[in-house]
Amino acid sequence: MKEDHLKHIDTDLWVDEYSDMLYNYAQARVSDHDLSLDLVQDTFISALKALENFEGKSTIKTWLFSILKRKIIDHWRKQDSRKTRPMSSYFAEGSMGPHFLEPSSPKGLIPEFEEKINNEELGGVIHECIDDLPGKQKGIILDKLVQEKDSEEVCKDYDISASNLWVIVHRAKLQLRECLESKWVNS
Amino acid sequence: MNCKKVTYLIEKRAIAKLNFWEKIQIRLHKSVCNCCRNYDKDTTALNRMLLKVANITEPTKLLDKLEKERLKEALRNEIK
Repeated sequence: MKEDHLKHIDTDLWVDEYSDMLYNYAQARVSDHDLSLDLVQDTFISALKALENFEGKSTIKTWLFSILKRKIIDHWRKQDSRKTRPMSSYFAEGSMGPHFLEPSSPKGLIPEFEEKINNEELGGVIHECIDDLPGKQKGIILDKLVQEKDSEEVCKDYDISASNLWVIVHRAKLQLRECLESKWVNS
Repeated sequence: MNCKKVTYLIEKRAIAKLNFWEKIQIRLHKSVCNCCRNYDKDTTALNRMLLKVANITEPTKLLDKLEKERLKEALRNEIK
C-alpha cells in the first residue's frame, strides 16, 4: 500500500514542467536520447519514492536536478568501474617527450581561429568538439570551463578528487585543442 | 623534456593555484620547447572560446507528446 500523501501529487504536472529541462541536461552529458529519457524517468521515480524526505528547503527543480546528477554519476560508475588511477601512474604511461603531442604538434593556430570565427560559427564548432569527448569529460568541461563552476562543486557533482579533475581536464583539453585545430585547418 | 607533465600543469594553472616549483617548471620547459609554447597559446585561446560559448544558448530539444505521455504513464503506475 502506498503512502497517502502520494495521492495528492500531480505527476503529470512534473512531467509538463520539468521533463524538457532534465532531458536536455542529461542529453548534453550522455549524448544518448534513450538513455537520457530513462534517466529522466528514473529521476522522477526516485523523487516520488523519496518525497517524504523532501523538506522544501530547495525548490522542486533544484531537488530533481540533484537526483538526476546522482543518476548520471551512477551511470558512469556502472559503465566504467575502474577508478581513475592515481597521478603517479598517469605520468608513467605513454610517451612523455615532445612526441607526446604528436601527431598534431601544436602550431599555435588557435588564436588565429579565435580571431576569425564569428559567434554563430563558434558555438557550433565548439559544441561539435565537446560532443566528441568521452564519458564524464563532456559534462566536466561544460560545467568547469564553459559554466565556470567552482572546482569543489564539480568534484562533488562527479564524485572525483581535485587531482582527478586536473587529469580529466588535461585529457579533454588535449582532445579539444586537436579537434579545433583540425576544424580550422580544414575550413 | 616532459611535454605531458608541462601541458598538464598549463591546464592545472587555469583551474587551480600552482606552487612556485610548478610555475618554474612551465617557464623553464617553455623556454626550450616550441611545441609547449604553442600549446600554451592554443589552450589559452581555447579557454576564452569556451567561455564565450556559455553566452550562446544551445538549442533546447523538447520531448514530443508521446514521450511525455509515456513518462506520465510510468509515474502514474508508480503511485497506484
